Amino acid sequence: MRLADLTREIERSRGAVTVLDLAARLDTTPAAVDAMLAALRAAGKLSPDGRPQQRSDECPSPGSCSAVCPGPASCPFVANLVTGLEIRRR
Amino acid sequence: MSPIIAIAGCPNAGKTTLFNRMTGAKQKVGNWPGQTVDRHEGAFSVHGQTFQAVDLPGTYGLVAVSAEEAIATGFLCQERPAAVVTVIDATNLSAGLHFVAQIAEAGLRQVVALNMSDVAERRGITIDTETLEDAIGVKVIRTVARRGDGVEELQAAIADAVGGGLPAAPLVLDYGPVVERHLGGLVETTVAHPEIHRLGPPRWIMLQLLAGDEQVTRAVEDIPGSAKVLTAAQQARETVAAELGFDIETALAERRLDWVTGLVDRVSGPCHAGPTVSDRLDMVLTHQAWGLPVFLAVMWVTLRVTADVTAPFLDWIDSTISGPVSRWAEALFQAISLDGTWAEGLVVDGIIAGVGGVLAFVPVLFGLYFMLAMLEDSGYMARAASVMDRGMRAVGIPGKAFLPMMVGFGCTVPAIYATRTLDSSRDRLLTGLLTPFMSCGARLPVYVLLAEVFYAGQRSTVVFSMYLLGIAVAALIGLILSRTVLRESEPAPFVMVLPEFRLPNARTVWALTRQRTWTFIKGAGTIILAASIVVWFLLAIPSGGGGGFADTPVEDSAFGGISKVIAPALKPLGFGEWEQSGALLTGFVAKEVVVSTMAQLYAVEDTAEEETSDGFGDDLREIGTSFVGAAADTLRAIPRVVGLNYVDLEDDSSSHLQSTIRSSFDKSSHGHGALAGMAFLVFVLLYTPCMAAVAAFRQEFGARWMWVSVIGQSVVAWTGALLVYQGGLLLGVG
Repeated sequence: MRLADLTREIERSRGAVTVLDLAARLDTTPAAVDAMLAALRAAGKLSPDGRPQQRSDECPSPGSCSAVCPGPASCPFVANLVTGLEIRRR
Repeated sequence: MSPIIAIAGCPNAGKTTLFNRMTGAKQKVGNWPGQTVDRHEGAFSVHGQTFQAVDLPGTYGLVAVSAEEAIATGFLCQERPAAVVTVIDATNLSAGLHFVAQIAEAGLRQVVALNMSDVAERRGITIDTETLEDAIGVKVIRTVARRGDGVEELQAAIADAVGGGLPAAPLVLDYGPVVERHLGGLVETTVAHPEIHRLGPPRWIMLQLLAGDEQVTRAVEDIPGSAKVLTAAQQARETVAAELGFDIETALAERRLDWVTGLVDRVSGPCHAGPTVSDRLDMVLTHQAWGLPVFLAVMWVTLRVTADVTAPFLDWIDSTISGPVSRWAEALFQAISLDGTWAEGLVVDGIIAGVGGVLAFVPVLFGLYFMLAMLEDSGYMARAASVMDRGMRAVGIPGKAFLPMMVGFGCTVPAIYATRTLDSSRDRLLTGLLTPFMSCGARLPVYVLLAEVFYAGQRSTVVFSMYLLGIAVAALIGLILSRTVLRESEPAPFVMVLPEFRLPNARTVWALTRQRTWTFIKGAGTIILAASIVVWFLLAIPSGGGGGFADTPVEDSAFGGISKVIAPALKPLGFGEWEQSGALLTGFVAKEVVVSTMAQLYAVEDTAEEETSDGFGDDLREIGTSFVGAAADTLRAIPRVVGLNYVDLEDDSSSHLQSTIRSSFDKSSHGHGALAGMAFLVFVLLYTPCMAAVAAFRQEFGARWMWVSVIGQSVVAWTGALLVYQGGLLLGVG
């Protein structure tokens, strides 16, 4: 079962694993891994981490950060670099 | 009552753009019950019939994994709208079809909007919509929401779907013998509970119970006498997992994947996609051996552009503020007969020198933010994060720490908040303790100023060294902490999905650069302004020495008195003069204040040199001429970034501020000014970034760890600067 193998490979990794790494380990193409991740995501088996709502909407103190920036939730310095997907346990 | 139409689909498929096109101005915005998420509703009419459209938050499927997704799935499964417009991204058909399949299994009427069809066509992706319609039994409309293409056709299809009146026939997928056997048994148990049928097709309800869908489980729990059904579903869930050797969610996803893959093959041709150009680039850029050298090279170019290419504009703003702007202010005070008063001193030596000293670095920050935005939007920053992740894990720092640390290159405050994305409190704390060592944008003006004073020809090398040193110190501290008080736990596994490489979008790059630079400028107008005023007053207040208010020698001022208390502790580091300790003291407020304080201190001390001009017109001409000169120098500096030196741009002239700083450091280090300057930079890199970062740290980790962080950073900064200065003296450097 491809998805079970993929899930096992993700769980086996210590920390981050990329689509390219997974493709190499499962001897398939990155596009195939993308499709498998989409399937797991649609089934609620993978969930994204680091979502914006996990950040605070409040500034550390009035008159400091709040005086010059719109607050952590919409801070222009927060870059959307990557999407991290974690295996969701229930 | 008008039929309700839900606009649903995966995030970034273009739902909201399509919703706006469908409803036009007929919209209202409210909140979802008990949520802060906006609920957008609107209306549209087809042949006199009005429909109410609701724009749902993006979701990948009907099993919610977040609060926002729960809003969408709750609305679809419990409200059961008259029809669903499933918006799918034509360039990512596979992801969209998983959602289509689940909506169809739930027995909801749907119309599929194949959005971004123009982009798909440009990429050579062909989709046979007729075959797709036959396979899923619903109307598929090509749309380009951005232009409004296909919207009328889509509205007509919705009207047809709703007008048919008959319930949609649920899609039935074969989930294999094991699941089907248990599923069949579960569906039979619902015969005794007709209320369950009101929630949706019984087969779908049982599938959701098997998949552990919390919302459907709660809805079934509310039905009297349904406990047996729930118990049977739970037992089936466990039995299926035992029989298959893996969980049932994976089994259901596997069968849907088969269905989606088969369908994509039929409607879009077999997918034999090998590695794309982006994949091939990744093989080099994230390679175990090449990844790090490439990352360092990219950082080098970024900082060369930042420090060298923008330098002519730095000089232009600096000379404009210290020259014409200061002269105009003096002329204004003369015109209102307040020249020579403390008010003139506050404005010219306090505000203009302090705030102006920081504003001069706007071009440098613009350069940094421009380069970072280019790297972010091209997708390279994600690769850099991947390279950093590997290195950090090697020294016991959690893999996910790369995100806060990359954010830390811009600003430490959001970087500390970004630690919330980490799983354990140990990982969050460790990363929070390390992010302040990442060199934030506010330290850049200090680096550039001191590098200009002591290492004019090696400006970018000095700045680059500071960035690298910050990473190295973070790695070292991380290694020590993870082997002692914050022992390493098993790192949580996760998939890092990197975005496709692309040419940076000019609009996005400009927006990011503008927002970040503007934040820096606003800081100059608030925090730096306030700090400059406070420092000026402290410099004006006599403390034990001679003179009255605003007429006391600066070393005898209150500021001088406070700074002299700290200065002895910094003597072994080569910068034990009170001006230097005073600048570092105010740097606790914000790092840019180090520069504004230096500008104020040395401007106050500067009484010998007074530039004159022949009038306002001459000043304007001077500003214009020097701007053209700066622009020309910038253009000539660009080839030097990659080592092409067509024109000698070395400028031997240095400002009065620079020569005074040099003299001050030479004096404090007994002639080893360059070495003391380097030690000063190391101290600025490593000590507490700013008060806002301290407050953020306290909010996230509590007062005790805040003190550990502040004291720890001060100790590390002092030790680092000591090693540089005393080590340099021992080795005969500088």
